[in-house]
Amino acid sequence: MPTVAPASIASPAASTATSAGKPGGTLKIGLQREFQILDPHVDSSLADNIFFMAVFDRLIERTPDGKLYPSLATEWSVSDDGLTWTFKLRQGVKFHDGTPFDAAAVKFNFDRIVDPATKSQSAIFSLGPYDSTTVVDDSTIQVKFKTPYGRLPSSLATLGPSMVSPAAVQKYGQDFALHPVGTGAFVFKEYIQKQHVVITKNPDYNWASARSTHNGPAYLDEVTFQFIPEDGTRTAALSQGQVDGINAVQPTDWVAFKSSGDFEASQRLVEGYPPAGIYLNVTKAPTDDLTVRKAIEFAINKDEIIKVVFDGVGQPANGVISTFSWAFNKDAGTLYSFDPKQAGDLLDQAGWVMGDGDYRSKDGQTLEVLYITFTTLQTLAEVVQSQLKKVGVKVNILAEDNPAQQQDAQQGKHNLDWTQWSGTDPDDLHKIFGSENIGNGWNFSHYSNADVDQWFNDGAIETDSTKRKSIYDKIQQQVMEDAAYVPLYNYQVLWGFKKGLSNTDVIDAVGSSALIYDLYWDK
Amino acid sequence: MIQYLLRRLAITIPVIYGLITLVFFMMHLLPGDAVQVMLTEFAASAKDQEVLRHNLGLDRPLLVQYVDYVWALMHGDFGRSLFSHQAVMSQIGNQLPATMQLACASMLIAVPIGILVGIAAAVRQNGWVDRVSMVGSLFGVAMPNFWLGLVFIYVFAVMLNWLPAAGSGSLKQLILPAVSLAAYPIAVLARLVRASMLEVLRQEYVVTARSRGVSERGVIFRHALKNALIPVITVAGMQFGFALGGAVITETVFARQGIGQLAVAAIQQRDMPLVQGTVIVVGIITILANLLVDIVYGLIDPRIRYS
Repeated sequence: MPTVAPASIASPAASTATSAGKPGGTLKIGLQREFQILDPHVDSSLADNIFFMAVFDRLIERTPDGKLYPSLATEWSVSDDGLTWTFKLRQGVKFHDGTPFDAAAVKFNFDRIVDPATKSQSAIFSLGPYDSTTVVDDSTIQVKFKTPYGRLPSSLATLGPSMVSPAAVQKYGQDFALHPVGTGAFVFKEYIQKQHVVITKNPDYNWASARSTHNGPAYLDEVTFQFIPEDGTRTAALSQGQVDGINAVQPTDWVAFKSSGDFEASQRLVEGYPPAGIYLNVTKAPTDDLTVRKAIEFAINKDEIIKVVFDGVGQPANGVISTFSWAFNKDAGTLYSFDPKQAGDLLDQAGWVMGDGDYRSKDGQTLEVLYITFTTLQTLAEVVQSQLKKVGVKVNILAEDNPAQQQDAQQGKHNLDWTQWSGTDPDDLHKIFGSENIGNGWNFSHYSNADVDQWFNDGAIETDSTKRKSIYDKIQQQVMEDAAYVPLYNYQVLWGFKKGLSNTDVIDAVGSSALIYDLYWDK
Repeated sequence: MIQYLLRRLAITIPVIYGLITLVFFMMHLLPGDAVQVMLTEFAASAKDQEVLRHNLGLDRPLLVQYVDYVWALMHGDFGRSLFSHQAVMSQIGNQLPATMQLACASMLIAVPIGILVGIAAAVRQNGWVDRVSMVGSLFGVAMPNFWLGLVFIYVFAVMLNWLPAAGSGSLKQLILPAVSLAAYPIAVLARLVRASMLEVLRQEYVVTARSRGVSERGVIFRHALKNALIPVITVAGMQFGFALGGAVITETVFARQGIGQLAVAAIQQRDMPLVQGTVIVVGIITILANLLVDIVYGLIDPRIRYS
């Protein structure tokens, strides 16, 4: 007897909200990062989500609070042994090239994602232990897994498993990315590399999920994404009117836009698993000492970091999951606070005492740590350095480019390392704190706790959402007690817009719920 | 001359081959690889990384990857970018025109202005023209490219709204970047022409020309300038080469297409096929540009004969 899929599911019917928006008009958005590749099955850049949201649909959609919405799938259930999921598909959906969306198309999509020849950079991993798909009839499929995969519904709501047109893939082969075809509210029109991408309204669109505020075609006739990597130039483009909105606004410019009458500014927070923070290497001295790590937790002043590095624009983070995520454990977030005195006491306890100089020492050795970071985050590193100096810890900063930093972190050369990961499910944390990911993976704390590993395994196969939450509560509590990570702030993307758009809140941080579809000019 | 040309062209192939071999092994000395960059934003497990590395063929022995690449190259297959999956040559082909436009436009501005300023400074040595232009050239050499670009954007795009801030493709979009990129070569050329002219104007044949009644303008432009320009050609050629590969900053500030940007991004991402493709293209262009400079040299300076 199949058990009904968990997680709060919103109304199964497509949104029937009356559209209140005014149709017409074009929108030009200046983006910091160029799109990597317009094929959702291959892509691994979060910056491309805003495109995939508009041109493709998925079986399921979600909001950051964890709520799931039927989209191209109208209902789903999982077998008792957790190995087979059954999906009923929406009828009457067409791809932009006129071909029908049906069970065969879904099977084609899933098989394509896991095919090594596709060289998927992320979608393949969101399908987990995928085995095969069976077409039961035109609107029903059964998806088999090798082991139970509790998070399948929320994974299907990520941008990787977007539904692409099998006919288009067969026609264009490896060049599909130059001619992307989906079922979304917008149709791909043009891509001039390093310059812009243009999409136009899909007049046949009629199957919006209940996550949207309306159904039917999009309001905007055409949207242009222009790539402007330099911060100052992007701001100038908005000020001048060359574009209607920009992302990655510098904090000072953001404050200026916010207070200007002609513009508005919004702040979108990224779901972090974990949020932006510092990994403490638990295998390298002196951070291999739990007391020293706890002292560091107490020595960090998040508010000062936000004030100095982000001009006060930002929100402190309090645990290994974003404070606004459905799985956030509030109690785990209260273990530490800014308390330099307690930090000092803990260091004394650990045997590191202040001498005549600026830094503590023990047995003739100075208390010093190596902090690895990206070159773009030098200022933040310096603030941390000065905060830790106040409690007598010497911080040596090593700023490197991305791949070099990753390699060093994997090899454990550091004591402190800044990183941040966005995700969609607390199971993503196993890639950060699971012991099998030390060395070749992203476990930069080199943290290994047998209980936590077991809880991760439990959480991955558990399908009941209440039980899952309590498993991940335990994990968060343990990791924070072991002080493997110092949470700093919720990673954010700052947007600036020309005044006159209806509701720019629909554009979120990484575009994973960028409902340009619901946007219109309100003038 | 023809033999000389053919010899120079024939050497191109081994040089390019040496370049790509060098780049191949140098890139692998850099820490990290493409897979780590790809999975930067998605926390991926160690197992995930291995799967992707295998699917991309990046777990094969280095020598195997190298031979594979060269073999494909000999069949005209430059491969596809690891990140965009686009054919390398078509990606470069898309970006090259904008770089050529920018380099040519900035040199078309820099060369005449640099030469005229240099002449003016030399002819009225120690006058106000000389002083002002030499201080100006100091600024031109010292000012960071991106700063100048941003200042131009702020003044001409935001405040005056005369020209667009970003993008490439239209003539209007070419003006600000070309001018900001021209600042350095103007400064270098002005100084060089000034020094060169001063030296030439002291030569005996100039004195002779004057004593024969040739007008001052005739002396400057018909007798002195030709000879003063010889070192200028080399420098202008070098500046053009820099503009081609080194316009990365200008391209980034003005959000232009260009191979400079393409190459830097490819290197940072460890996108081997794309890096190799740009090395080949820029290598060939540089070799041809050097060859052109040498030929022009030979045409202008009768003392030089190639055999």
